[in-house]
Amino acid sequence: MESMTPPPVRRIAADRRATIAPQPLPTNGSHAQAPPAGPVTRGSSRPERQRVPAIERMRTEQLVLAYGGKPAVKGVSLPVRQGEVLALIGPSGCGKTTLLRSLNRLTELTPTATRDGKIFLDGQDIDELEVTQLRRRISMVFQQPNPFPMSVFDNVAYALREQGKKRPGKRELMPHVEEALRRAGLWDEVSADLSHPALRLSGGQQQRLCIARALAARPEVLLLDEPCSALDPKSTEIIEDLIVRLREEVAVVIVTHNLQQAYRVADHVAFMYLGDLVEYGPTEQVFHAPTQHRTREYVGGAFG
Amino acid sequence: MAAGAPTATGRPLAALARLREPWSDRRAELVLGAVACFVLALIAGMIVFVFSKAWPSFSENGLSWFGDTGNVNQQLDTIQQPGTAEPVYTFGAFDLIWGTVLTTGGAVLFGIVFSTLAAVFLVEFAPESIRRVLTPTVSLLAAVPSVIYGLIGILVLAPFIGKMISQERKESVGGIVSLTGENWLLATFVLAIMIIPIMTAIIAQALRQVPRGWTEGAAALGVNRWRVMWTVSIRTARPAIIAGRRAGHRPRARRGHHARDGVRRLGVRAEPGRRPHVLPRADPPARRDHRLLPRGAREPGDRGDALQHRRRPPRLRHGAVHRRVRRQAADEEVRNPHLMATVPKAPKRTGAVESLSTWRWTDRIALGLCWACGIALCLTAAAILLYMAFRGLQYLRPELLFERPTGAVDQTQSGGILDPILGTMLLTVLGTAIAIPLGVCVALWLVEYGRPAGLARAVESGVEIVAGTPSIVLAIFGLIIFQQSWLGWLSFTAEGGGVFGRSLVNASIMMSFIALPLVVGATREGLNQIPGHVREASYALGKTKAATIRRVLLPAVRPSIATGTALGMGRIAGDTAIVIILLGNTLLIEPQGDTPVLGLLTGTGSTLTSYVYENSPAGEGGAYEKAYAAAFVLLLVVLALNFAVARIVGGGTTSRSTLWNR
Ligand SMILES: Nc1ncnc2c1ncn2[C@@H]1O[C@H](COP(=O)(O)OP(=O)(O)O)[C@@H](O)[C@H]1O
Ligand SMILES: [Mg+2]
Repeated sequence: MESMTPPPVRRIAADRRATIAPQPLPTNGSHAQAPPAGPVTRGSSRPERQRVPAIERMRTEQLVLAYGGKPAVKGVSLPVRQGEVLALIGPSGCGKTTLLRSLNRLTELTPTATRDGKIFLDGQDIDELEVTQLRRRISMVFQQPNPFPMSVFDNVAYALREQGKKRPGKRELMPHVEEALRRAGLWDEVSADLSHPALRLSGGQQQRLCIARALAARPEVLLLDEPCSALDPKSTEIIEDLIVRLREEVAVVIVTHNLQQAYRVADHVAFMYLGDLVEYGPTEQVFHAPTQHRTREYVGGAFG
Repeated sequence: MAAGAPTATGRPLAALARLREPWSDRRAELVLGAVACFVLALIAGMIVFVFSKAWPSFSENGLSWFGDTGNVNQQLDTIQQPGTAEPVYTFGAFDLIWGTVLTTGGAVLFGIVFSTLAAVFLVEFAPESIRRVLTPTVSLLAAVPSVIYGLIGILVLAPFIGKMISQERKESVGGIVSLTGENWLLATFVLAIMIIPIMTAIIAQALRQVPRGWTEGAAALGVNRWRVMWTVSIRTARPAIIAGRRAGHRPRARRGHHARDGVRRLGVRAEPGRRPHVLPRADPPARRDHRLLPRGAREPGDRGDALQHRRRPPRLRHGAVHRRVRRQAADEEVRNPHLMATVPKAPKRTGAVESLSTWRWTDRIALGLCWACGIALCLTAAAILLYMAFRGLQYLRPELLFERPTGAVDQTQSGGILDPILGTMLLTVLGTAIAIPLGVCVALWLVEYGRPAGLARAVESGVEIVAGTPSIVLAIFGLIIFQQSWLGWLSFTAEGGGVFGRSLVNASIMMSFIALPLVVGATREGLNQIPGHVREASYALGKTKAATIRRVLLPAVRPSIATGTALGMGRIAGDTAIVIILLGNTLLIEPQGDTPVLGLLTGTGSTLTSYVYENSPAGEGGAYEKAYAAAFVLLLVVLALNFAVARIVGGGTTSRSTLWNR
């Protein structure tokens, strides 16, 4: 894997997208409702997926983040690869969100937050990049769906309209908006009325709209902070499939509380505990043969 | 548990509670409702009454009322002189309306643009050091009484502008028009300076209340800070910006445990036509948020990790795992020392490398304007406050505070300002003493009962109407009403039977209408902040609703009531129109008759504001040194009240109310 062509290969599957987009939901039985008794259901039979070549896009080195001097992330070094989904797991308050937000420098919006250590995007220190440029390349979807109080179309077109030096017209934007909505699996539901107010969509639709909004700007890395924590199982399923499909074109980092979800979607898993990175490895290994005691306890508890 | 029926199941307990509590629910509701209705009736009565009084003027003139015929002063004289013969109603309001439109329109247009830019600067672009000074300064300026701005305008700016008009131009109009510099431009300018701090405070507050999810969401898409402001924050805050005046009263929000629910909150905000509700606040949001929000919550609406997890079905294993992991962490540390080896060394704050080169040129201009407005605001604020302090210290001598004024025109002979100071104190105390019980009862009834809904809405609108009424209109209301012969005992009746209508009580009653909306607003805000489970806990103990209000809610909202009161005091102390029209505006406190207290109450007097007004060139005296000294004392009073509000807001956890007053 390490020997693969290094950057500047940005988007590997740019021309394959159209065929991926409108795929119907997988209908195999394992996706049906989970019986309440067993904690692991569809997760236990992790769907075999085609291997995608993985390239390292980002890397953190000895990353330390603190709020008002109190460390929340303590020296984490991690790679983020395109072609894979990286899941951050760990009990609440262990610094997952903080770590994720630091990747596109959103932590800088918190006045008390401080940082040490380095973050690289394609080998370049992100401190040297212009911050809006950086955030265009590394987009984020939040835990609470936060569509703007505008129409569906305006939401998806938002980044395209506001990022560039001049404002593209509606006609110009339309193909991009449609493509983003298709990739987020929302097109069929909203195509009839794109001027529908985004805040009147259901929670699951809102979250997919937020993903579409992030995708419309063609990011290279997509950060997802517990994107399904406020959603129903059906919407969760749609978003999980979406994440698995997306990983070919963008590097995906997902924070999740839900171990089964991490097991289902991730290729690599990082387990954090009280700000420390305890274990990082391929999903199968972290869940079935963890090297660390704490990982075993945390993961083992969830899998019974 | 249903909030409305706490006693439905526990009859014996409820009976017991009723024994101990003299107030039954029913009676409490009736009394509170009656007070609310009383206030509503007063307000409605005033409106109807004044309209009926104004009707002859309308019907006499027809549409030409809006024209420019007739004599304004003639009609005003007949109103102000009681007991004269048939009033003259030929009247054209064109000049008045045009004047209002010209000054207000100009000031508001300029003010909105300037304040929006200044507020954006304050919230987003100002360096931390400037922000820390500017935020309280703006709220202080917002509280400075208008008469002080007027004083500065007429004593400093008018001569300045007058000097700029060349001698030739003055001669060219041959003395027919006196070009002193008192003109529309100046009035508009002073008005603008006056409203800018208020509007800036309100808009900044509205901008701060834009949900973080939206601004961060936009920032996360790689949109620069100005465009985030412009496309998301200002857009969301726009209704608040336009309806700036009405801030301070939050229309019925669902109280209690839902208030902080993020999703619900977003939903509420999203409803078209609902304005985001703004309540200007004293303390910077960062400090407030961290104090009030649950651990782990980053924005109001985020309930913190702990709560969020509780909402989901409990995962029993999680806690156990967590505990086990913690227990074993220690062992593992020994075995894997490298895992904990990376102890962080004091991390630095990383600065955003922000390059304007990627910005659109319009954005760059806007950013420049933003900075310009912010700096201009800083300079104006500094100039006004320093100038007033300088003049005040220059002219204020301690003995002034203890000497009674005399009517002399000569400044060395005109005595001190004891009576105006006493007048301000009396009026403020009496006004708030009337406003507090009424306001608290109205707020309690609105939040805790509020049935029937139609009545509640009517009371709400009534209070809002009063809040939006200029005090001079209230003063005229008062004058017309108190000049009725059956209210003659409140002031004094002249020989011919004409009722004077001006006295300390009358002025206090009208002043209480200024403070009322602020007390109602702050108390409601406080009540809405109390989570529903607190009430339920009290009901669960078998307390009646009335007992809950008395023993639980009222103590909890005391800081809010105090905040509203202090705000109201600030506004009463700063008001001029009601003093001049309703207090009689006699230099000395002149009791009516010999009865000690009653005489004082029905007598006349003056306050600091009217003293400043009368001693400025706008009034009679032209004793500007005294005016400055009195204005400085007035400024100190307002400053002290402002400080009190800040302390109350900063100190109490239940109160999240406002520092904004006028
Ligand atoms: N804005 C903030 N101010 C101060 N402390 C914070 C802030 N955000 C998070 N923290 C603290 O940092 C730690 C990590 O938080 P977070 O990254 O949100 O954890 P997670 O997402 O894993 O639940 C927690 O102890 C939390 O209390
Ligand atoms: Mg989190």
